[in-house]
Order: sequence, then C-alpha cells, then structure tokens
Amino acid sequence: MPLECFYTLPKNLEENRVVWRTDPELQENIRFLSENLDPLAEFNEEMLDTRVAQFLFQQLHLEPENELFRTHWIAFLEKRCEQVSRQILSVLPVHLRNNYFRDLFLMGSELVCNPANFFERFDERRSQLYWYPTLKRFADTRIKNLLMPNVRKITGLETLGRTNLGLVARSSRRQVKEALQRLGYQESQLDQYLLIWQCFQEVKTSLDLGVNNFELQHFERIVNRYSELQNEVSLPEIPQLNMNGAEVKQYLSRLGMAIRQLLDPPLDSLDSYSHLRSPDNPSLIDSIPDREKIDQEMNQTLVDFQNFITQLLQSFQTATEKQTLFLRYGLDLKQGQVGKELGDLPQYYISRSLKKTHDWILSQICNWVKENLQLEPCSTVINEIEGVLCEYYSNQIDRCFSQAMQLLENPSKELLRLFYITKFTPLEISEKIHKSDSEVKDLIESIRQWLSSNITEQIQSEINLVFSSKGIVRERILFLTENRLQTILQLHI
Amino acid sequence: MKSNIQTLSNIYSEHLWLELSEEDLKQAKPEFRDYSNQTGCYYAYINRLCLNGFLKWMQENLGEDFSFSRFPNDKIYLNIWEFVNGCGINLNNKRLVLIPSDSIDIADFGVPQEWVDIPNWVADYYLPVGIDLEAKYLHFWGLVSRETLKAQADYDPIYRCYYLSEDYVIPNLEILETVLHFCPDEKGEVTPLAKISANEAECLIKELSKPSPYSPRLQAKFEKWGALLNDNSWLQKLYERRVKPVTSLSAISVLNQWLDDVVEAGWQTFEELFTPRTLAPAFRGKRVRGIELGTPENIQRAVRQLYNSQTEVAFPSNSNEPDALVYLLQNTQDESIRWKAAEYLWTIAPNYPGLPIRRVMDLGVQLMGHPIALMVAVLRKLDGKIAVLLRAYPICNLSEDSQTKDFRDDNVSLTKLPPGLRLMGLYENGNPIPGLEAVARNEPQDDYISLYFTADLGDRFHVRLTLKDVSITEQFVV
Repeated sequence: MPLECFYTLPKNLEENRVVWRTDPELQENIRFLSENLDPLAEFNEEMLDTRVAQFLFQQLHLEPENELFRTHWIAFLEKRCEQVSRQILSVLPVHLRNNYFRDLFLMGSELVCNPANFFERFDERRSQLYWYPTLKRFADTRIKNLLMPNVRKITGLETLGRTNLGLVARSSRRQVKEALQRLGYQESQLDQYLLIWQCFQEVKTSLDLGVNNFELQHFERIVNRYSELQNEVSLPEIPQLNMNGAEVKQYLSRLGMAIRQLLDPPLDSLDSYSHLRSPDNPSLIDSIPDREKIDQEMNQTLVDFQNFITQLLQSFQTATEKQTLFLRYGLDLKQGQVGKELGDLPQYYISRSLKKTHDWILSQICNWVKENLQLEPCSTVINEIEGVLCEYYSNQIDRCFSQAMQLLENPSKELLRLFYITKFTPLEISEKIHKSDSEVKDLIESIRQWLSSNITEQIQSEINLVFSSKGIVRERILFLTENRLQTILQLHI
Repeated sequence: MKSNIQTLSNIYSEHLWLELSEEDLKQAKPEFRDYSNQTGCYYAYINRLCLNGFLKWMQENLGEDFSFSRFPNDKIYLNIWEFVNGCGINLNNKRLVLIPSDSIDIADFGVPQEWVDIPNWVADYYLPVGIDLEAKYLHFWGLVSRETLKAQADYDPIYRCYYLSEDYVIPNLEILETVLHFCPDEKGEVTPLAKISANEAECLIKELSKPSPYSPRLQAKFEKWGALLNDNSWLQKLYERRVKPVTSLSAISVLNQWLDDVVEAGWQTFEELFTPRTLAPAFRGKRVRGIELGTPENIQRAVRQLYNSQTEVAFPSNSNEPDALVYLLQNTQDESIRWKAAEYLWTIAPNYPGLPIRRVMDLGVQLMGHPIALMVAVLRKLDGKIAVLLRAYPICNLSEDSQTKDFRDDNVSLTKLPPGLRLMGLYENGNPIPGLEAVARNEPQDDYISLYFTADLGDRFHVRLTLKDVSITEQFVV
C-alpha cells in the first residue's frame, strides 16, 4: 500500500465505495518525510513505506494527542476499514454487499477514531523484519474482530436483539469495562462495578435459569455473593455494596444499555477531521532522528531476508507444490478449496502435501532467523512467518496486476483515473466523455472484468494450472482486482 | 453447516468453527448426580462439548504423529468441572487448555488461575472458545502461549483469573500443528507451590466439602487451594466428598430413641433450623393451614372444630385446649386428624408434654440448588405402634428487606417447594411403599408435602427426596 493511505480521508460514501479526498497538509508531511528520512534514497519503495510508517508510529506513541500524527493514523485505519469491510462482504451475495457496506465501514470508522488506543497493545517487538506488514495484519485482525457483533447480525445470528440483561450476561469483561467507562465511572469505581458484574456471572452459572427469567431474589443473591466475597477475600479497596437486589437489577440493565451503544452506535455520517497545525507543533524536521548505522545494517538484513524468501519459494520444482503454495498464501484458500481447484484432490492429500511443504519452508526460515537474528522460533514468530509468505505471494499478484495495467489502452486508463484517482462520480465522468451514466458504469465494470481475466491468465500460466470456471479462485481474483485497483493505478498513472 | 455459521466461518476463516449436532448436545449433558450443584453441571456441559468437538477435529486434522489424552487422565478429568472451568488436552509432550465461554464478543478471555499457576496443571497454550448453545456452534478463535499470557494478562485477584486481550491472541489456528512441532517450551517460569501436609489437606477437604451453589475455589487462599488440586488423590477425595454419590447424609436414624430424646447428629429442632429468615411465610405467625391460632378464642374455636370434624373421639370434659389436643392425637385412629392436632399443638404450645417429637434436617442445596429440609415426627400410639409423619419444607434465605414487606408474586418461588419434588417412602430393599408418595405441585406451588403412616417397632424404611435426576435417601428404623 503506498503512502497515500496516510494522507487521504473519506469524503463521502457512494453506493458501495468510499470516495476519498487528499488532505494537502497531510500529503505534504508525507512527501517531506519520504524525502528526508533517507535523503540518499537508498531504500526501495517497500522499505521507504516501512520507514515512514515506523516514524509516524513512534511519534503517535510519543504524542498521542498531537492532531497531525493522530490524523495520519486515522487516515491509515480508515483505509484498513474499507479493505476489511470489502473482505467481509466478499463472501456474501452481491445484493447484501451493497446493503451492508455502508454500515460496516461506518462502524469500523467509529472504532478507529482513537489510533493511540487502537494500537495500545501492538507489540513492536513482534517483528523486527516485517514490521509494517505485521502492523497491517494487526490492524485488520483487530478491526475484523471489533466488527464481529455486526457481522453476526448480518448473518442472522442474534446479538443486538437481546435484552439489556441478556447483553450483559454475554459480554466479555473488557467490553463491560469499556461500557462502564462510557457510563462515566471513574477508574477508582471500576473495580467495584466490575465485581458486581462478575458476581452476576457467577450467580447466573449457578442457576438453571435464563437471565430474562431472573426474579428479585436472584438479584439479591448477587448482593449476598458480593458480601461473601468481600468478607472472604478481605480487599479493603472494594467498598461495601450499598445496593439491594432491585438496584443491582437497575445497574445491570443500565450496563446492558451502555454495551448496546458500544455495539450499535448511531451511524449517520463520516466524521470530519481537522488538524490545524498549532504554533506549538514542532517542525517535522526536528522530529526526524539522525540516521544511525544500525539502520543500514537492519536494511541490509531486510534485503537479505527478502532475497532468501524469494530463492526459497522459487526453489520448489513440482507444479503441485507451487500451485498449493500460491493458492494457499496468495489467494488465502483453505485446504478444501485448494483441493477442489487442483482437480478435486481429497483434503487429506492436500493437507499432507501442504504440511510437508509448509514444515520444510518453516524449518528453513526458522534456521535463517535463528542464525541471522538470534530469534528462537516461538508461536508469535511462526505467526509472523505466515504473514511473510502471504506478503510474498501478494506482491507476486501485484506484479501480475501491473503487467495487466500496462496492456490497457489509454482511454481505459483515463477512465479509471477519473473514477479512482480523481474520484469523479459516473455522472460527472459521463458529462466529460459524452456518454451516458449507465454506459460509463458498464465501461468501468468491463475494464475491471478484463483486468481480472488477464490477471487470472497470468497466474494460471505462472503456476501452470487452469482454474475452474465457476470456482472460488476466479471470484477471489475479481475481489482482489476491485480492492487493489486504486492502489495499483497510482503507481501507473 | 448452517448458512450463518458457514458465512462466519468464511469471513473468519483463520478461526475454527465447529457445528454442534443434537447428538453432540445430548452426549455432553452431564448426569446431575455427578456434580454437587448447577455450576458444576454447567461447566461439565460446556467443557464436554468443547473437548469432544476439539478431540474429534484433532483426530481428523492433525498428523498421525500426535497422540493425545485428556488431562489429568481419562478417569478423573470429569471431576475438575466441579471446581473450575476449562479442560486440558495432553498432546505428545505439550498441553493445551481450552477455555469455553458464552461471550458473544472476543474482546478478551479469562483463564482461571488454576490452569496457569498450579504446577501440574499449567499448559503450553490456551485456546479461547466461544460457545453458542442457541446457534449450536463452537468458535475456537486463537491460541496464546503461557509465557505471553503471564506477561500480558490482567490478573483479577478476587476471582483469581487472568484476563487477556484479544490483541495478544494469535488468531490463526492453522499454525497449531506447526507450533507444536517447532516451538520449544513456551510455558515460561512456573513457580512451585508450597506443599501442604496430609492433615492440612484433610481439614481443607472437610471445610470445602460443605454444600454451596458455587465452586469452593475462592474459599481458601490460592496457595492452599492450588496445593490441594495439584495432587490428584486429594482432588478426587474433595470431589467425592462434595458430590456424595451415595446420597446418604447420615447413619440410620433410630426413631423410637427420639421419643427418649436421643437423636442422631444432623437432626435439629424445628426452632433451631427455622428462624424468621429461613421460615417460609406460610408458617409464620400462629396459623396452621389457614386456621388462625393467635388468640385464646381462635384456639378454642379451632380445637372445637377439629373435634367436630370427627366422631370417633369425644371432647374430654374439663380439659384445656392443649390437653384436648393431646387426648385427640393419642386416641384417634384417623392419621390426618392426629397430625393436624399435632400441628395445632406445635403452634400453640411447642413444648407441651405428650407432643410428638419432631426433628428437621437441612439437606442443603443438593437438590438442584433448592434448599430443602426434611422433617420427621414420631409419636407412640396407645397400641404401641409408632405414628410417623414425613414432610419436606423449603428453606428460605430472604434478605432483611423482604422479611418486612408483603410478599409479591415474584417472591413466590423462593418460599415454596420446587414443582416436581417427590417425597417417597421405600421398603428396606428400596422398593416403593405403595401409596407413600407425594409430589410438589406446579400450580399452585406447595408450602410443603407430607406423608404419614404407622409402623411397628423395629420396622425399617427409607425416605427418598427426588428432584429431576437427583435423589437423597435417608434410612430409618422405628
């Protein structure tokens, strides 16, 4: 993803796409950083993206309230929201995608409006090599998990239709804590009110009774349990409970309402962001650290690692191995889906083949990482290595994309530029090129389809496999085309 | 797979989604008698669902070079759920612990301290599992090493639980097999627990065996509790003491000795057990089955009416009401009249000479969490036989507020017997005595249920109280 993600903000929502606007000041900052973080421009583009992102991340941690850095990250996270929303909806029927895209994107935007909070638990030590891809995966996973209640609703599973008490009963502790904070409870009060909730959970488990059938005596049991624990555990910082059963019931109901507001906030419009540079804001020049020798070493190690991965993955000789790896990591297919594309091979065969290949790759990478970075394999490192493989094949697909773009004729490129880069609506484009609105839409769609077909042909040729005409691979490539089109266009136009 | 679960599985394809069939749900349902309270039953249910589902998945998906077994072993793994949520699987030389929860969101998950800090229990990896019994699926949403858990979790010292944010959970379960193969020890440091002596363990077990609706895990300091559970034999012993599968609370009660005031341990007087807080409202005040006995006039009227309801025994002349009642209960052949007279006497003159002896036993919350008392009353008849009254009462636990208010409808169930509660008389061989069974009604709910009969000295019988699949049986000899 080029650095545009750090300086474009959502302008409005149209049908099932976000129209982005470029913020001139944010853009200027990014340009400045790109030129000054490494004046010698030794870095390749990927490394430059990482360097800029890392710098901005460090500044966000140092100054979480600084509007400039905060807005850069809001822009980044809004882009991730769009991607995650599309990814979620790609598995739904087309008519549902249009219905829910707006809701998912707006909900995601609500969740990412405090970037410092969002990234609070991102452990920067998780990956020294693939920091930026790891950060992106962290963001995507977090957004996807935060959207889960909405996703449940889309799939027809009941979440928000529950009663307030039902919501309280089925919430995690962290969600309850956030709801309490939203209700305005101070930090010093949180422990007590969390304890009431925990007593509620314990009483609920002890009864063969749904919470919606609780009577007053059951709420009184919560009061009794609280008192018992207070005496048994002897924690003076937890005060006595001055509530009776009826008051506990009211408190839990209020808590349920607060949780409901967390899960289903009013979503009317996109937030607007402004980040007027105050006279006190330090100049970016002052913030850029001096280049240190260790950066050069780290960069060299990164280059070496990338070369190693390339050689490793290109060393596979058999067609099946190449195909399996590409489908699994490039197109994110599950083993059963891979088996179907490879001529209905049984899943156990794919599983064994993939496992053998996978284990061999991992052992090679783990050995390299241990030798060159002195890192022992652990579950976190294994997880990052998965990300490395996905990134490698994703870059391969991007190369196919770039090649397809070069074959496009200029009028088609121009049409795409107007729609994706300049953000004109089909109606505005139709006025420019003297065609009807529906003709413009059809043209854009046919270009997308052509690009998708061309990419599919390239991949088929690369891995020597013909994909089934109605299989998931073609759908997946079409989705990737739509998702990556704007990004790739910026490299070519 | 149902379409909504399939869609979730496609969207969150890195997680593991397992659908639950009706058969799965049925197989996982525990026997109520295997746990002392509803908490244990619930933990058993959800953990069995997780364990069965995950073991089946592992058999189908992990390589043949993995061997796995239930923690701590196939014999006693079920016992753990009497105390704590979670289930362990030993895989080759590693351990996974599954932590099921019915939370809808996955913002965090809680691991009870037992699974993290008891040396024989610690796991290499913890897997949070969402369980939805309505939509019938299991959702395994990641794994985390103990090292990460200890470093990053928030520890709750009251409920003794480590809460870990989803940000630290590795969401990709497809790497599980690789992690098990490649990663060395990710447990981190495990601090040994101080040992406890056999005596100390025995005292703890005795203390923690007392019935309660909750797990006893918070009743002792963790150092002691953990040391107890660290030993399989003590864990087993505590389980057996709590669950009491034999369902007999005490030795045989010898009823004719009660008449000489020799009563076995465990039996209390009515007044000792039933305080204003624990006595159901139907029995408060001087009232028996709706008949007011609060004033001398009411007592006189009631006794006269009782005598008038039968023709067998004439009202003794020049007798006060208590004497008349004693006379009636000794001479009538009608057991229902006899025991009605006894109830009047217990109400108006609890210590009157000639009263039947009654004792009550608190059965705790063994019957599905409902606190019940068993009352037995005995009287020596003039012909030498022994008249016996058996009764089951609810034990209330009202807050101080409730005691002074009029009882609203929503307090009804607290002060009545649970519908379906069955009181039975059995022969010594366990066969039911015909006609000796009472069942608590649903509508209206009963204040008590009772049985009465006459027996000869030396007769043996059992009394059984049953609610759903749970029974308690007491043995008697007349």
